[in-house]
Amino acid sequence: MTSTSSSDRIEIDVEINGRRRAVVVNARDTLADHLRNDQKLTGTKLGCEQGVCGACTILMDGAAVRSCLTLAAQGDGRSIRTVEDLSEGSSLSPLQEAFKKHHALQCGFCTAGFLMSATELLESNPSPTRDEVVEALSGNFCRCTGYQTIVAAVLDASEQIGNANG
Amino acid sequence: MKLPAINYASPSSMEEACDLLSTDEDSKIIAGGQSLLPVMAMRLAQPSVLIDLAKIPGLDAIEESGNYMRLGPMATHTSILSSPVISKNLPLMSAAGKYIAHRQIRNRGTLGGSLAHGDAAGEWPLVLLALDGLVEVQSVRGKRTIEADDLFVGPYMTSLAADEIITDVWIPFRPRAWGYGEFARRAGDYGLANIAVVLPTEDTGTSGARITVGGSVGKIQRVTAAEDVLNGSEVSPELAKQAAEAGASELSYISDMHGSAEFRRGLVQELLRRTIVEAGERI
Repeated sequence: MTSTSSSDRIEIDVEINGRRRAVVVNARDTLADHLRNDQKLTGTKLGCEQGVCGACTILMDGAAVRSCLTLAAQGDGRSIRTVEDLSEGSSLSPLQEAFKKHHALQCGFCTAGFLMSATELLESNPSPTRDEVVEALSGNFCRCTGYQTIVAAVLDASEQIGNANG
Repeated sequence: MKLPAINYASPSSMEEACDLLSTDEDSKIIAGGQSLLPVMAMRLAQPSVLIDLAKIPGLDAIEESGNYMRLGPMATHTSILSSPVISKNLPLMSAAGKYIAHRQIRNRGTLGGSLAHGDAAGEWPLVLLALDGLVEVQSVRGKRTIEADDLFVGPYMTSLAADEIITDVWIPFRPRAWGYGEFARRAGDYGLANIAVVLPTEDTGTSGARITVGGSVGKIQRVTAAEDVLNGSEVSPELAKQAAEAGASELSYISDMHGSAEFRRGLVQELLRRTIVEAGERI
């Protein structure tokens, strides 16, 4: 039997926004810490750091997860997508355009989390009902907008994407 | 807060995981981490080593095996909720699982983690107890089976020994009428009261009613006084009311900033009544 030992520094092989990276992370670091501090991908925000607010939501193998409740070490072998992956250069994605059009943000702190939760929804269910949008976004807090404009933006984005795909 | 300093290990077999867990009494298993990591961030727990089960193959199974569903401890809430065999054989699980937190938590959180954590407001402990399930556990000392009736012993307390790991969860399926009720002030919050009701039907054979309660009562438990009222009688709205009254009187309630004991007693009684009626309509 091979024996696995524990360490406070962990080697991982992780794909982040399409690029594979072999890195060494601290055992105590969350994936959010790693993305922000080591990868300098500061689009992902850290709010409560205990899984309540949803600001740190990212996609792991296509599923929306809280990066403050995932260890960096648990990213080994996984594919991560952050908000930086949504736009191409300076051209916003249809979802981002819809957020802009509907004023779905004010201070912007929660926005990356909402965008990633909505991205998971639209990729798995391209034509969600209003109730499905509300349910999918229920794990994200926004203290500025009152949510209605965010829901409107996601519904509009689903129409835009549907039209673009003919 | 940032997590406390820890070591991390990612064994590739259950034997290795058991070895690691037995060599350091302050080590802890991490499954999905959706309860453990917040507790660590609040510095209520500081394990020396986190032993991750993610790299051990085969722990996320969801399959029929004889008259049981066999579920692996690493099956996520999302995978259970999207499983056609679960919705066919154990619709109570599908109904209850929808109440677990939010999508992002359900994508990471696991069945085994929820059972081992033993939160009184947890949906899976409540359902496992109502459906008369059992868990198989392993340690360096060997394997054993724990019936759900013996698993949940108190708030965040199970009968798992510190060196034991849940390897399989078995839930029998047979025709049973069921109901599920949960009340929270906001969708996705921990339930102030959770109720699961399982009633025998003509085809079920031997077993009697199994009614479980969580949330307001501090630990997952059966409501035997309510079961006694229902056993041997045909469920009617009047009988449901009597059972709910008997059940609610039998329990003792916590009182905190989220609700007084009196409020919680009223909540549990009404939720019991409604959930028994719901299950009765499925007979």
